[in-house]
Amino acid sequence: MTMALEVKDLIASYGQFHALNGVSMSVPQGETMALVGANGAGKSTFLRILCGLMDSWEGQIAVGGTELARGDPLKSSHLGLALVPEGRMLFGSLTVRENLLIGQTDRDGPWDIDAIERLFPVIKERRNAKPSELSGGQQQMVAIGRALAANPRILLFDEISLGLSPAVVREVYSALAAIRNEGVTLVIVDQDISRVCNVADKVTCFFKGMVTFHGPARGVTADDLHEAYFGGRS
Amino acid sequence: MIGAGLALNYGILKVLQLAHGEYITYGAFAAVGAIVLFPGLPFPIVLLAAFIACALLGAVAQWLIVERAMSYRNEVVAMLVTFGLAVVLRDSLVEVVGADLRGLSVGRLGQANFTIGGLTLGVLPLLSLAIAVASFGLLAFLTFKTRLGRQIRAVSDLPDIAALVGVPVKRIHVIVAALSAGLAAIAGVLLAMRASVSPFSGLDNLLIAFEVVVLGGLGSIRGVLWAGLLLGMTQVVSTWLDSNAGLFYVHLVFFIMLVFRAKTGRLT
Amino acid sequence: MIRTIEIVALVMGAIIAWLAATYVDSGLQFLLCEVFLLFIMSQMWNLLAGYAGQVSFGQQMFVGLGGYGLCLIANNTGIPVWATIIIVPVIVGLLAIPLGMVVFHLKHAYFAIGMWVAAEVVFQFVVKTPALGGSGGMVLRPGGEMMQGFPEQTVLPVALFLSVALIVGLRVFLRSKLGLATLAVRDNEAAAEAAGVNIWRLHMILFTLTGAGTALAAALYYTTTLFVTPLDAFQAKWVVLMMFIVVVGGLGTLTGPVVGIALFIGIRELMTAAGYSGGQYWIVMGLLSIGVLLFLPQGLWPAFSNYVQSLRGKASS
Repeated sequence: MTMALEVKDLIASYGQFHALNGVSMSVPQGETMALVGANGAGKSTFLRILCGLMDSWEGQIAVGGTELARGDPLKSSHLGLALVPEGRMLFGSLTVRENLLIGQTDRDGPWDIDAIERLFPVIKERRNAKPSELSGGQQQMVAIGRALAANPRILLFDEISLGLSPAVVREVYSALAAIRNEGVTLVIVDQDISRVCNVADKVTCFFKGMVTFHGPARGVTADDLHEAYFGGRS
Repeated sequence: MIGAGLALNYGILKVLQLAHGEYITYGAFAAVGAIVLFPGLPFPIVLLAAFIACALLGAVAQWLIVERAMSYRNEVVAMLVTFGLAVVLRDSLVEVVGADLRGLSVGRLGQANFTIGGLTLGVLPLLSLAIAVASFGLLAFLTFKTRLGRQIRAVSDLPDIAALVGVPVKRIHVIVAALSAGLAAIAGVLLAMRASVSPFSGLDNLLIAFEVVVLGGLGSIRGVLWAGLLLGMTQVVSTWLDSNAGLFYVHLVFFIMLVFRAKTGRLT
Repeated sequence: MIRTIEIVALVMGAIIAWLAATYVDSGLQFLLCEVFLLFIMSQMWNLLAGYAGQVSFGQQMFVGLGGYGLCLIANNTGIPVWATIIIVPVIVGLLAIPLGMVVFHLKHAYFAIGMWVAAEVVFQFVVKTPALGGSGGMVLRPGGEMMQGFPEQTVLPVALFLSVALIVGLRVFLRSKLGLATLAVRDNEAAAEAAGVNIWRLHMILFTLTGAGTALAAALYYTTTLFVTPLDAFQAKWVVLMMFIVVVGGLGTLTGPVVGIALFIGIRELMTAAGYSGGQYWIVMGLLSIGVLLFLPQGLWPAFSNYVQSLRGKASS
């Protein structure tokens, strides 16, 4: 099976502080990985590195078998990575539709504008609105739509349900199923561990920059994760 | 007009381009040079030549120098680099063409005028206005209706995220720098048609450009138009009241407005 | 408090200043005056930009005010020139306070431009005012008489000693409570404010002091040139020089401007001697600054001292 994402001995630091300390993992193409851990465990740093937004790291990262460039978001995008960032980060001076259009790349795939609008009808209804006129949940849908428009190989979600109402979270998660069926690899960071583990094939838990759990989501018990979340059994 | 390019540059690149005044001067001198070399050249081609020459200059400067300075993510470093650039550009120009004033001969056009309902209008000011409005119109079309404009606005909003969705940020920077320098060149040509231009006028023009941009609000094209009008009117009125006014009242008005707006908190 | 080596430096400075006044020939004295006075101005800009974090494009205003203050007071009153030179920075410092209250509403780039425009307003006002000589400027005639003797013979030792005293003074200042507060604000404004530093008051003190210091250097400078014109005194060249010297040498370091000024005046004298024009000198300076900023954005001196330290580190290991 080809690996969408392979990470070996990843070390990252902000000055003296080691945010990641020897992280290794692999995610097969088409699978969904839940990435969990306490605040400051290194989840966001990990996503930033994948997106090329951070350049002080050592180790090997391969996306679909190709080495990831250091600190170059444009190259990350060419490798087929797309991010739904924490806090949405939509382009405020672009309309909803323009936010989708700008996400488009040369990559072929199922996600043209029509398909995205079918997934999230609200995007079609509010196509000429500015992001600031939308609710948080609608913004999150536009952010997902913008990332999908690139037809990514790997779609990264940072704090997918942060600040959203339970009803919107349910809607977003049901959309994830449709996205997964098209063969996209998903990496999801969420504080709601049980929910994200329900949709995931694999679970990875970080604790203080190290992997304390990495395995199939099926069969994982709450106790396993609880231990990993607070430092593992070592 | 003088301010438009600078507003564009600061709005997108977040760098105060201190060489902007020199681009204005270079634009004027490019036009003068083109006319001297090819006397029969029609005016639109002269304008286009000045635009292209300065756009190239701006693009190369951005690509080779300013982009690198920006990578340090330190506003002051980038600003001072553009200042060094301004000094080099100005003195290179003086070395090449000498320190003399140059004007752009517009022939009979300068005095030409016509009368509508008792109001006598000069052709030249109208032509300048038309060119300025046309430039603004093209710029607005480019920014709001094209894919390039979409990318430019995205880079202005969130450069990192823009790169991540596949916008070639560095190329956009170079294009913006080129456009901005090109607009400066058009402003320079218009200035040269009205009065003589000295190779040393870069700093003065830069200051006026700053004033227009700061008053009009960074990145707002309509605001820049209003600010330009206000400062222009100040200049006309003060010259009428006090023949020795110079730019004193213009600078004073700007300074008072700036501080007033800062005090009332309407300055970001 | 002040340390022994700094007292030694002050004494040495005084001795060298006396020697320079006695044994150096007039032409060289004139050049050295310019060097040391420009050094003082640069250090002032450095204090404001490098330590207080306020980049100003309008410091030429204080140069002009210093020059005009000197001529106005010395020409129209019986106060001797040398006393005037002490009064002028006090007055300019006092003038800087209301200006500071106004421009401190502006931040970062707005502050830099606001200062520039303020300087331009003062410049235009001077040009428009016949009592100040309009665009022709003023000649220094203390009490109505022409200056006698060779002012540079007195200005040089003063400027030289002041330069040494300034470095010593700044070193002592940076160890003081106020100096530590300045550094704290530079490193982290929010944290310093949380720790109880009154940033506004601190910046106002520095703004006033640097304005006064620049005016003092300018008053000394125009004592040697004997006349002041608005185009010269208020030209942006002053602030450009200050910026280049500080930035190439090393912004926010005390030694940086020393390196910067040695380089700038050295290159200027060499190029003038070799027959190059002023314009060509400025092209070289501009290219030099761009080069330094692009490759060693901290400036030459910090880069050099880091290099020396890394060599030492290798030698000791």
